[in-house]
Amino acid sequence: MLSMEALKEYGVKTNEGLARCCNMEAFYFKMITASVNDANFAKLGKALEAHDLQEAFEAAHALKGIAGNLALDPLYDAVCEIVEPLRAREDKDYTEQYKKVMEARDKLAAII
Amino acid sequence: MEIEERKFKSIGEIVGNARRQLLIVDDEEINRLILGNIMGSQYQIAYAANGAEALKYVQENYRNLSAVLLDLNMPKMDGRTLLKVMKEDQRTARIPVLVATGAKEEEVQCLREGACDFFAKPYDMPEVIRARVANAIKMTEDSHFIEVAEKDPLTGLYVRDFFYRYCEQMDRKIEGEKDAVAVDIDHFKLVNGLYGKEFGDKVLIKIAEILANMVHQYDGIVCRPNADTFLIYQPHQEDHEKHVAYLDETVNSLLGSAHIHLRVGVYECVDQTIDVVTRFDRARIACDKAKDNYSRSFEMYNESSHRQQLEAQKYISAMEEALKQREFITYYQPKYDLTGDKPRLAGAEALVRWQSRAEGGLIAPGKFIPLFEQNGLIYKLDLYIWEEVARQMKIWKQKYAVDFPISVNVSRVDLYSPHLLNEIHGIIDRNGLSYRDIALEITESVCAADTETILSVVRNLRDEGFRIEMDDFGSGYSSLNMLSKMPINVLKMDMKFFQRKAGNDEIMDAMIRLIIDFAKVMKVPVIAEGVEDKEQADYLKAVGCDMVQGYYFGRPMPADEFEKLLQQGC
Repeated sequence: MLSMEALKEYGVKTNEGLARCCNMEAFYFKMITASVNDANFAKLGKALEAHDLQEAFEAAHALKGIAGNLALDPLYDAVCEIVEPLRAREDKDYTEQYKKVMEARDKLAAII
Repeated sequence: MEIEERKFKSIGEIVGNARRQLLIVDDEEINRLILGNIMGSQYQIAYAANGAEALKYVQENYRNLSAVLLDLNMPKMDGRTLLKVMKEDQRTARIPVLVATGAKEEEVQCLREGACDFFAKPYDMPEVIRARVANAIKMTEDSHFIEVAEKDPLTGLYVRDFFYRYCEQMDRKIEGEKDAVAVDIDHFKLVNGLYGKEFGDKVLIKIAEILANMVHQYDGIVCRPNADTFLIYQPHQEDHEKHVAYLDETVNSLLGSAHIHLRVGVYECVDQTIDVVTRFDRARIACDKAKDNYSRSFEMYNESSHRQQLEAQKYISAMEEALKQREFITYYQPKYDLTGDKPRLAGAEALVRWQSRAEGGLIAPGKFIPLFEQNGLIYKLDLYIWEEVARQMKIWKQKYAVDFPISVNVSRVDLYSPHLLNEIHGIIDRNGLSYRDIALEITESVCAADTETILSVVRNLRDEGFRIEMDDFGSGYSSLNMLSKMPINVLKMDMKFFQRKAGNDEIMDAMIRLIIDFAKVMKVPVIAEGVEDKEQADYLKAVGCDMVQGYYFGRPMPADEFEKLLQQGC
């Protein structure tokens, strides 16, 4: 069961995220739940595998936007590490960074 | 026009406090929903997941859309491209777009590309976003209201107040001489009446277009302050006549058979120290002058004619009050009978003088009488003078048993009044006079130039018993044949028309003799007025002139002075 305590423990700046959701807790939780299932996680994985840097950047950038808005800091930090080299279209091995993103996501999924 | 509609709806929305519509464009649903949640309490929200979807929505709903909140990085047309397309389309260009940006460099870039504001990602506090959106909408709507208010909806030209403000701006921005021009369509009501209002509107729109193009070349501006008038303010141009001809030609070639006549008044090189409204008043004065002149459709404003006009207006507006304050005074100029051994006082002509308090002295009759004749006020003034004369005559008859008439002037306008006979009867009756006591002086030009109507009025007056004196005989153009039919009792000839100069003595003498002989045939006496010296007087007596009037015998004088003549019995 998702709770503010659990989110804080995970590293979420809940006051910021909640404020963006106009202090509507239920709405905030709903958005967080939706974020975990966001299609961009899979899209990012596939694009990296296919070395489609453009697509990978778009997916990572979208994830960054969501994580930022919901104040999901651990996820946000992990995504940022992958977004910036992708923005510069650095064609390198992103396995490690992608793993970190997915770990952050899984941790979040676990507390939902 | 559709854009206008959309914006007028916005005005209605402000008044009615209805919810405005926002479009949120982001490829990420969660971001869309968060933003929608922030804005949803105050706006109606529509969503689009990419640029293409957004563009479709914007094009279909631009009338009702108050703002777009736009993410930049999106598949299928990114935010920048959407912004560009929206700004290029006149219908959608006015919709304010706020961009969500995560990087500083993007902010400036977006503002340059037409975004009106931005907000940060991750999102700012909801209040901050709401305030920014509200500001952007208000600014856009306000500026549009200004635009709607400053333009005439029919022609798209400026309306007067804004035009005047832009003229002032032009004075500051552009150095050098400027011209104020007024353009007016001759008999526009007739154009409307003959061809219908729709055609009239078409004429106005065409002229507006042509004028806008014309003045654009000279960095000028143009407005339509009212129905069929246009005002132009532009850096000084040399050849106005050429421009007017071009304008006339272009307008008529575009409008086909209906001949449109334009009148143009130009106040050149305006005095930039006087206020703008006055500058255009002057252009309009020139334009009005052009209206009176059928051979020219364009007039320049000139200072002296303006001063004359101002003076005329001053006299006209002061007249009613002057009548009430009894500022008009009757002077009497004696007439003498020459038929006896010595000249004998045998009449007088009543003449009006205006003793103006406002002017601090006498205003010459030549300055105000022609004005009052033009606008018909003379009738009031004449009635006033006649009443004065009758009142005075009553007194003099009682005191001095005066047995000659005093003559008053009758203007052309008076003769057209349907109440003239009644008024005169009233005056005679009220003062216990008979018709023999008042003579009526009517100028030859009035008698001769006018129709049977005038003649029949004069005939009626004569038949009532009034003595009709034909004034200024010799200055008009009546034929001898006409003269014989005219209902007159006296011929008055003004000596100023028979001035003897070296070499023409004989001709003048002959003419004077001719008039006197003619009068004898018609059995009417002749009065010579304007007699200024003894030589003239002796001559007139020698050739058989019956009566004289002039400075040599007596100037026009106030009643008390004339009364002294009556006392002396001469």
